[in-house]
Amino acid sequence: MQALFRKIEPYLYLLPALLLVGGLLLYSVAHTLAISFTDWDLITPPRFVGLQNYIDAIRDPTFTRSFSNTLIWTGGSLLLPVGGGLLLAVVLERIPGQRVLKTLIYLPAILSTTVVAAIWSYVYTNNGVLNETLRWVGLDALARPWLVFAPTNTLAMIVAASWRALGPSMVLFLVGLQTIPPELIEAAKIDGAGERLLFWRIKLPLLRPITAIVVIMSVIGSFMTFDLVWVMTQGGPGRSSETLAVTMYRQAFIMWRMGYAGAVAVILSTIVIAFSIFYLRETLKRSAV
Amino acid sequence: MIERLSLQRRSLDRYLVLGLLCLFALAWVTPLAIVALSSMKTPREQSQSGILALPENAAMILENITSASELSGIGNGILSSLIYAFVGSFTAVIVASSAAYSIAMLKIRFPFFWFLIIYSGTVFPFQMYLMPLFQMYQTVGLYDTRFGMLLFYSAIAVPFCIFVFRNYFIGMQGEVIEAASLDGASSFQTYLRIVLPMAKAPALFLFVTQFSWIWNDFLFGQVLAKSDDVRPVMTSLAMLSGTYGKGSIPQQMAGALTASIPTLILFFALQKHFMQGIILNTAGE
Amino acid sequence: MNKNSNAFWPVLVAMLLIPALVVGGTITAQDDPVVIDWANDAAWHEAGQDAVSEASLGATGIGVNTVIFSSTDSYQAAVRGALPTDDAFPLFDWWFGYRMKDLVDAGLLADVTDIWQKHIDNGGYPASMMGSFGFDGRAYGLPKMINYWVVFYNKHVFAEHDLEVPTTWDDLMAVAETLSNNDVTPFGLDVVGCRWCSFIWFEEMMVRVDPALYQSVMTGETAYNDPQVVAIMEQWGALLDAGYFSQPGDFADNWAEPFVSGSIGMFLIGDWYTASLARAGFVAGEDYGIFVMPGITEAGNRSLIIEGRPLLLAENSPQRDVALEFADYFMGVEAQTIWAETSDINSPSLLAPEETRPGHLVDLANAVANGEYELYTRYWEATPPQIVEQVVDLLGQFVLDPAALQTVLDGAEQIAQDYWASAGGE
Repeated sequence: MQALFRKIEPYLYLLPALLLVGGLLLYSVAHTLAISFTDWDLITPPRFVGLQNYIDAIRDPTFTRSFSNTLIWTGGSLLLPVGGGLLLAVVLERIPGQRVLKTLIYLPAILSTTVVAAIWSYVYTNNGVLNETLRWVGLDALARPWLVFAPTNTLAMIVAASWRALGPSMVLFLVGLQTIPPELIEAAKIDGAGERLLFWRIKLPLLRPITAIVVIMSVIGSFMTFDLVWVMTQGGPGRSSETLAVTMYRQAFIMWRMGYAGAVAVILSTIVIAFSIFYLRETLKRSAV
Repeated sequence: MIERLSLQRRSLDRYLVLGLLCLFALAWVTPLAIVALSSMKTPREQSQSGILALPENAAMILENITSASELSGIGNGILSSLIYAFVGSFTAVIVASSAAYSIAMLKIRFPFFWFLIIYSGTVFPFQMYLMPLFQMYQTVGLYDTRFGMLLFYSAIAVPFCIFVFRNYFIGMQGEVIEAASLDGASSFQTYLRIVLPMAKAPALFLFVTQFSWIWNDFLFGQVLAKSDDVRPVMTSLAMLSGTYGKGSIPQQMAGALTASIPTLILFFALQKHFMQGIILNTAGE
Repeated sequence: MNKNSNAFWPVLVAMLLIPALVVGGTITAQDDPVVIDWANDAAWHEAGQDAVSEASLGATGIGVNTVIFSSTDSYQAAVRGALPTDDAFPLFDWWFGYRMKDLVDAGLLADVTDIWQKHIDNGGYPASMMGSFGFDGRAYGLPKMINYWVVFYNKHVFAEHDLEVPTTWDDLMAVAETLSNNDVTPFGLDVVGCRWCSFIWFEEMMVRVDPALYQSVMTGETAYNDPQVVAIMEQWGALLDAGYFSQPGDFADNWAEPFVSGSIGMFLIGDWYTASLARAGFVAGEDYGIFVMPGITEAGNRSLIIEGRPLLLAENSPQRDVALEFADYFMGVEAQTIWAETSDINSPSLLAPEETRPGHLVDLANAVANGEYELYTRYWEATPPQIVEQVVDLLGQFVLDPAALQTVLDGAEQIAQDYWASAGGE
């Protein structure tokens, strides 16, 4: 009896999480997966269509555009909130007044996406804060309609999203930096290592577990980019700023093709899971060394 | 002499960095200033003065807050949202830390598989949960109940928490096993007395981020509930905005500002703890 | 310390139960009078619906509980998702014309023809109106609001440049030219923040030149790339090229602001824009006025774009009969008077007292009642949504780049043909 309990006990810690996630989230995933093989408009019974939705989705010319926009989002998010967050964390660690700066940088994270989108719509209008500032400092050539033409509109929205995402990723890196034993840094300094060497050889490798979190969350976030785009441009004009998640939402809640939307969602998740497995394996291997 | 020169250069560098940072901070807060300034204007003033123009009467903000909360019936949602955000993120942190503990430190078979199962809950686009959950909730009677909302908010926060905890626990495996074996503790004692206290920093960080996610959600709050005392605060607040909305821009902004106060307080209250928690651990070794 | 460890599981279970206890307190018993849900996505209707509910409780013993969804997409999702089940909202707002056709075809809407007939016989509504709220002589929706699409003009801007309300197309062009020369954008149009707004001028130009052509494009009889359509679009393109429209990107997500600030002089939109302007502190009659756009041809002079907001009843709701009873009350004079007064709208009921109508809409409403205009359904509802939802994106591209006209119309025609071909088979 005791022995049996000992064997089962480790799984008991897992159980509440499995029940919650399985009962609500994975159930919905399975439901969507099943629906993705059907034609369903919510009001008439689903009709089985096999792989047709997947074929339609991949053949659609806007799928390619959504996909490449999503990749731009991924790249941009790795550069700005992730790269920028790391840079800020390293710089802020040794700057006077860092508390104030840290707090300021974190502040936008408490606003909801809808509010962030509304604010940045004002920043980006033709006579908005950004263009006026550019004209004021004499950079007239840079002033432009930010949300109208691709790929400027996607890049502009990435900046808006980063404004909100930078704080949390910086905080995660700061948390990570503090786990590095000071003795290690001191020892490296005594050995004559400069700041640069210190960063590349000591800090960055030791930050790997944190970096993995931030990178993966950023990739997931990019693949699921929806709210901000939906509020600011609805994927337009002329579908030029659509992301995969916007394509999915459009099919589900505008065109009422739940099966098609499900297929896009499944494709999207498969990519992210494949990336995660690959990336986690890599980081695990290295941190085991 | 050379030493001194390089010192001077170094401090010059420092000022340069500091200057750049200040400029950056200024650009950073400009969008926030838009919210603050707008919330202090009358609707007409908002339309006719520049977006960064100073308000004629800053006390207007009080009137805007009052009318925003009256129009949106925001009061109804505040209690619900506080329950959802506190209990939901707390449940998620506990449930996730215990699962991550099992995955990272205990002897279970296929830990990576279990991790992926739970993790996959976070890589699926949230909007796709909407219809299956809506229909399931109606069938099982969870629709329009606070319990149903709480279940959902707890569940949606779990995968991310597990992800962070697992990475964190893998990093501290050695220390824990060592400390535990010295104590001769059971697996539960290890979890409660060693793992959880050491994980204070990520736990608080997760609590804050999940709290603010739940607090800011309006989509699920709108679809999974319909009555005023079950729907969360952001769902009420959203009634102010949009073409069909009830409120003017200043009222929307005033409402948004008011609604972000709880998250703000929480961040300031816990910031110190999750920034310092880990230093204490490493120092104590 | 051991105590602690034994406490873990009970503590966890208790923690999961706390929410259940919290809920326990919120379950309340049903009230005695019947109160049924009325869902919609227009928060500003809430006060009006509450007032109607109160009056209805007194008159019929039936009240309504307004459920607001502030996002139109998730509103439709929640309504559609529940409609086939007995959890369906008994009363809900919708879109008329083709936007309600799939619900009718699936047998999900209660037939309200009898209620219409009763109120038409009372003289409450023109018989012709019922057709817009159903198909094949049966009605499936009640008129909650009727809106006309007119030009709003800023009176201060017009006064400053000595402009009068134009009565002919040439007058309108002269006004636009004057405004344009004085650095005021003549017409506001936003296709960046508003995806669907691209159809506004498409439909308007069509009905101002050749309303019959507009209708035959809507039913698929005439192609989008028909030479006549191309010619009309070229006329619009010339206006775009002349700089008569706001530049893409001028607007933030707020349509009232540029009009109120006077940076644009005129705005072609549904008369519900009144509510947005009121929220921005702009007063009808004092700050702005409205006029119906003059025709480009003789035939186009009598056209008016109409938009209806129907109230629908779910066939599957267990409260369907109660909802029918309420619907009857809602179409009556008492409810219409209260509804119009509290919401500051133009009641579709002919019997609603004139003083309930917003001042600047009275003349228009009378002109419509006297048969001075031919009414044409708004593009959004005049043709199947499967076509509309894709064509508006193409029209958006045209606004950004009028030179792309042929590609845009060819693309639109392809979409229309694909749809009609597949729908024809059913």
